[in-house]
Amino acid sequence: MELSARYSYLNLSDKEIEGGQNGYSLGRSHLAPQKRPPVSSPVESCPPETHHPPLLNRSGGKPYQYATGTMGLDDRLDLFTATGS
Amino acid sequence: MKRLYPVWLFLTLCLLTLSLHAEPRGYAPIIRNDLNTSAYDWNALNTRWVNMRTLGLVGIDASHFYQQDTSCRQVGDMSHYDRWDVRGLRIGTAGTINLEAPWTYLVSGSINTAMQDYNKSPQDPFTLLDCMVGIPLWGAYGRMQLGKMKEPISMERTMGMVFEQVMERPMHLDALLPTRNIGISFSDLLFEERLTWHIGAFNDWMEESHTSFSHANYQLIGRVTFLPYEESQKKELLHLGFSYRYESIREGHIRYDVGPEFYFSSPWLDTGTFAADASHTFNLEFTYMKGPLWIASEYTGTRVTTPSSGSHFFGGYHISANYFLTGEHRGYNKRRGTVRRITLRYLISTKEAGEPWNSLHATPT
Repeated sequence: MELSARYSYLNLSDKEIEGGQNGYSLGRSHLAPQKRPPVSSPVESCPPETHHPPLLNRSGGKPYQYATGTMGLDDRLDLFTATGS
Repeated sequence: MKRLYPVWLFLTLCLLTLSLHAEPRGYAPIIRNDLNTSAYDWNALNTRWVNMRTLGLVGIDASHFYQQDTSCRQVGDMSHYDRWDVRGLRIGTAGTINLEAPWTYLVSGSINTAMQDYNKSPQDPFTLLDCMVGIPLWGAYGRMQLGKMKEPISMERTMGMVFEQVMERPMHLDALLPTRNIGISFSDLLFEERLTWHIGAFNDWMEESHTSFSHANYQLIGRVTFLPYEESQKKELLHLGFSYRYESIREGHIRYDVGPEFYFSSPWLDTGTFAADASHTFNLEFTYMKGPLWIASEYTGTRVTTPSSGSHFFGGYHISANYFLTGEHRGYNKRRGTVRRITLRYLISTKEAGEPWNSLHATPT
C-alpha cells in the first residue's frame, strides 16, 4: 500500500505579450496569429485546429464546451493533484 | 504513421526468420538485469540468435468528473460524468539479437479500436509507439539507439508510466515535451555506474504526411544524470539530472497545450498555434529515495523564439512524495538513470512436491 501526493504547476502564458495581439488570456489564443470570434457560443466557436475531437456528453449528445480563454480565467493556473493508492 | 508500416513489417519478418532458423535449445537469454526486462520466462522465446519477450498492457480508466462553479467559470460547463474507458490496449515484443555483443530491440504499438490514444485521431486503427534497435558500440554500456523511441529528456518522461509516482505524468511534461520521436541516439554509463549521458538527433517526418525530411522540425537533445550519493545497504540514493532540447521549427509554427488528467478531455491550457523559429527547453531532475520513501521534483522551462514578437517563455514544475506503508521500495535503473519498478518485500512461490495445492512460500527479497 502506497501513499502518494503531487503538486504541479504550469504557466503557458507570457506576461510580456498578454493583451498584445487580441486580448485573449490563458494563452489559448493570445499568441495565435489570427483573431478569434467572441465566445458567447463556445461550442460553435471552438477553434478548428483543435486536435482533440469533441466529446459527447451524457444528456443531449452535444459536444462538451471547450475552454475559450475569455471567461476571466487567470493566466496562471495551479492544479493540485493528490491521490492515494 | 503509414510510412512506418514497411519498417514494422521488415523488422518483424527479420526477427521471425531468425527465430525459425535458430537452434531452439541450450542458450540462456542474454538479457542483463540493467535492461529492465522481466526475469520471468513464461512469455519468452529463447533461441540461439534471438531472445524475444512478448509485451502486453490493458489499461482501464474509471473517471468521475464534477465541476464547481469556479471551474465552470474558468473553462466552461463540461457536464458531470462517470465513465469507464479502455485507456490502453498495447502489444509488442522486446529482447535481444544475440550477436557477439547482443543488440536489443523493442517494437510496441497501441490498438485504437477500443479507445482514443494520445494525440491520435480515432481514425488511426493502430499507433506505432516504439520501433527501435540498440547496438553496443563501445565499453560495457556505450550503445547507439536507432528508430522510434522516447526522447532522452526528463526522468518521468523517460520511465514507464506504470512506474510513475501517481497515475498520470505532471502536466508541465505533457505540455512541453513530446513522448516519442524518430531518430538516432547514443548513451553510456560512466564513473562506477554513477553518471549517465544520452544524446540524440530526431526528425519525425515519417509520421507527418504533409512535410518532408528537409522541411520537418528537427530536435537535438541531451540528458545527463548523476548519483552524488548512494548507500545501497540503506536503499538510499540521491539522483540529479539535467536535460536540454533544441527544436528547429522549420514548419513555421508550434503549439503547446495540456488538459486535465483525463486523457479524453480537451486542452485547458493552450497557447494556440503561433509562428515560431526555434525552441530551447531545459529540464532539471531531483530524486531522493530511502527505503519506502521517494521524493522527486522536476522543472521544465521552454523559450520559444518567434520571427516577429521576440521570444516567449513557458515553464512548470512538480513536487511529489511517495511512501509505502507496507515497506516495499522502488529500484533504480543505473543504465537509464531512472527509477524502476517496485521491489516486493517477499517473493511468492507456489507449492512444492508433496505440499497441499493451496500452499505458498513467501521469501524475503
